[in-house]
Amino acid sequence: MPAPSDSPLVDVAITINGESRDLSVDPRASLLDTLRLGLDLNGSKKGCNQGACGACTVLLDGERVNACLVLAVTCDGQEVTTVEGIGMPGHLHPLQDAFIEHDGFQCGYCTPGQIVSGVALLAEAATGQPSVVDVDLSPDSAAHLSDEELSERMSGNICRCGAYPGIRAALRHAAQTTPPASA
Amino acid sequence: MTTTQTTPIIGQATRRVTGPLKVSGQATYAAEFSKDFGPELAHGVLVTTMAASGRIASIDTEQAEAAPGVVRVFTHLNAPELPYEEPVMRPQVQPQVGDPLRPLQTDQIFFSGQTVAVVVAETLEQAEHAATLVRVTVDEAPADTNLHAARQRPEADEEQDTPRVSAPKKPAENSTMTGRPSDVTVGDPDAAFEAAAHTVDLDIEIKTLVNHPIEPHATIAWWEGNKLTVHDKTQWVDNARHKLALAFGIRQEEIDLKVDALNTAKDAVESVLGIRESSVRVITPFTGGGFGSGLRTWPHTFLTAMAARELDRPVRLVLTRAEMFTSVGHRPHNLQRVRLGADADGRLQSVIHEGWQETSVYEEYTMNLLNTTRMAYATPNLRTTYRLVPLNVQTPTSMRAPGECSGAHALEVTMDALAAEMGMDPLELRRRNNATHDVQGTPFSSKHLAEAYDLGAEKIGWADRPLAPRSMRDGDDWVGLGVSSTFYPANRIKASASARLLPDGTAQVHTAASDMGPGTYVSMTMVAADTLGLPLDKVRFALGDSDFPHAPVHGGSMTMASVGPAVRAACQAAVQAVIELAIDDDASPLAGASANDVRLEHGELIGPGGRETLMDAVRRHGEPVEATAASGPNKLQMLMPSDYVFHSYGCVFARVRVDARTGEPRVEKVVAVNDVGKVINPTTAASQTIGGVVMGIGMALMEEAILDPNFHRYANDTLAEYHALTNRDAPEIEAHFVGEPDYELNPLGARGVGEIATVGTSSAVINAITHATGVRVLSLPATLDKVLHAV
Repeated sequence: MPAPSDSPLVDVAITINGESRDLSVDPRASLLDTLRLGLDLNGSKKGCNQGACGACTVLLDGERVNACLVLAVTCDGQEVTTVEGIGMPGHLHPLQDAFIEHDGFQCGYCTPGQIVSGVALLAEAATGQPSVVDVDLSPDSAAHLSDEELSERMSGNICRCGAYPGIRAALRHAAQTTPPASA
Repeated sequence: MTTTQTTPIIGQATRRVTGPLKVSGQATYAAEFSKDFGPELAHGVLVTTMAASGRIASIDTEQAEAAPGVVRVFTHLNAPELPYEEPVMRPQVQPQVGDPLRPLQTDQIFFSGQTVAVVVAETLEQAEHAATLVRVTVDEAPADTNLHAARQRPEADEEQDTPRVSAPKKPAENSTMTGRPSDVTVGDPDAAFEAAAHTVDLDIEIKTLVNHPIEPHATIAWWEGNKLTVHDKTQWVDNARHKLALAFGIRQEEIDLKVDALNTAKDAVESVLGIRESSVRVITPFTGGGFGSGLRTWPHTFLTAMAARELDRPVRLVLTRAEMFTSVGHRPHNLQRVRLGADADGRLQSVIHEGWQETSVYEEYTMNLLNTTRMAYATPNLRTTYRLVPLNVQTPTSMRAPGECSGAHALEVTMDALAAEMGMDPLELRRRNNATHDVQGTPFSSKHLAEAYDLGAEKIGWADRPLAPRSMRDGDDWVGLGVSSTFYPANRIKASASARLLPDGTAQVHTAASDMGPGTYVSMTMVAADTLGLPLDKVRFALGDSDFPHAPVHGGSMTMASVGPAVRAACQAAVQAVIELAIDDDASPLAGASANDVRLEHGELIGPGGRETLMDAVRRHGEPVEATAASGPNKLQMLMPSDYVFHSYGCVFARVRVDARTGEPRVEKVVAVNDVGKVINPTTAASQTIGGVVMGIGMALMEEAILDPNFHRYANDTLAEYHALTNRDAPEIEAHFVGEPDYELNPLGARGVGEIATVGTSSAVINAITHATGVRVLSLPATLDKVLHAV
């Protein structure tokens, strides 16, 4: 792509799904557009491009973020995990299997964001991070999260098909069967 | 021996075959075919107008054109004039009156948010930046978006050239029961209302709602000579192909014959033409929701194809979330007045339902606002009156149960008001008025609504519900239980499919249908596997390619009822072709038998002299055996003469809590029970129902596109401020099914689930809030400010 004169490309090194990538990015480019258009990693979805729907959720140094609100230039030296790094057909993550088992999706467009968010949620719960539902009583493991907790912690991911009960069921299932290490 | 299937498939809870692709993000949606192109792919970004009415005075594109990476800026001044030929017969998804918006073909502005330019650049960032540099000035004319004021204007007369309130000019096939007639009167509803022992009279308002699939609408288009290929987010690849061909004037004879293709198997048309490939092809294997927004082919799709042709390179254009409010239709703002009169026993004596609905100033969008009222309950006297009010908004479109959802809401809230007026249990009022036929006397094909009431009442605990409102309190919450009936017409139209049996023991089944989420992939795989007697994993089903055999629109809850029988017919035709081969093959145990004496059972061909598996016969043949077949009526079933009217029925029960300190309503539990005929896949049917309930709760409590009365523009055009339900807002939801296969409608007995699922939830929730608090919210959504004054 020709470099625009007023907006020179910036070199960054980002580790994406365990692989170090040297990229020249437009400083205006979001991490999301860089993944989708620059790297053909279309697993992270663009739903609103303003941090409201969660379809673009990725892990940035292990924390869930909306990739549409992160500029790729700020990710130099950081690690990004997308849904492709969570699990692919043939070797799915237990939470992905649980989404299929509990029909936690319909059209599938918000689903990768839900999965990445859910994987992060399980890890957050395992390390005792509280939510607004339970600010005083930090959970000691994901297995003890109530449905109210699960839904609160998943409310940054909109599912317009309305698969929320299935999403909660999948998370309950995964929380009780997945050892925290793999979350 | 090849594998066969000996246990039933249809009716068994079955996982989606698309599951592994979807949970790993590997299902490819329209915009994501960018992966097939290198830097040759250019990026388009729209420029929209703030003004809501008038003419473009000037467009300054100089700065934008000079911006880095910009390839071209298209406006009405430099865009090529395109033919946009009129189809011989407009599809039902397109308004029958008025002209569709033809982008960049005029300087006229009809609504705020209308596209006035497209900037195409090498990268998305460059295009987005350059789009901000285009300067548009409009000679503004007065705009009108006030439905309340506009509906008071006198009705239009034929001479008038300014938009006025009017009856639908073409009420769609002259059927008073199934079309969209201006007025239907049975008996003497006014006299009966005056004479009724109990009456209620409510004015109900439903604000603008927006479909908002999470996948934004998107198009990638490219040309190879005169051949156009498009990836477009759509619920109907065949119509997108047809519309694009008309817009660009491609191969006129093909276009005319494609109109017939709506009524004929596509391969028959292509054999007439002697072509196997069309010069327009639309390929969309995955559609990330739509709920109606993908029925029509919208301006941005034509613009992307136009830009690709002019620039001779592939172009990709994705709508922003803000553009999703003003580019792909919406559920129209409407006002309704419902009057019900009943005798002392609660039997309806008079039903008068009037509706005023917005449309645009350039097209007449009509929907089935009042159909439900004409079939829902038994009454000797009825009138429905439907009026359209043109405003400076984009043309509305179908949003999940278009019309029915809004009309049934008003009817069902008024039914509850009648029950309250009588001091009668609202479920009992509905039972007493349960109808066996529509208001004109045609019987229903198969109806199990009474069983649905019984099951739903049991599951929600209705028997313990006190009759009086404000009688259940739990801590800081008022608690209430509400009920609503649900209705949705069952439909069917001709569809076609191909089945190809391969020597490796697998089958490929193709049809130009879509799957926006209900599970078309898995349910059609099930129908094919069941028909062929093969395990599910031996069937490869594909859809979403306009080169596949013709399928109707993926809407109106008719994909299963229409495409399902076509898949079955194609598989049966392929089986017949194999039988013909086997009986002529000395190596087959069926050799010499008459084709009529051979039958397929659990994947085995059984003849008088022996048996072999279907796929063994194919393997010995050594080449694929293929057949194409069509099934279903040439016109929508609801427009065909019939001894029956076809509907689905059900009920929704909701339990709500309303915070007595803040008035905030929250739904705690919903039970939905539907009679939809045969349920093909209980897993996905339950998910469709749950999803419909979720959307219905959003309609009841929070969804509203708020029109700024001064600027005529949606003030909350983001997903942060247009509140769709989140996980925390979604309660426990039970989905149950009653009834029996409806073989009067189609050989599978399935009537479809998608839309009835979203009818009734909003009214059940509003009725539950009334039971909790005593407040009957008449204008949706029931935000806390509308409840607080009374709690």
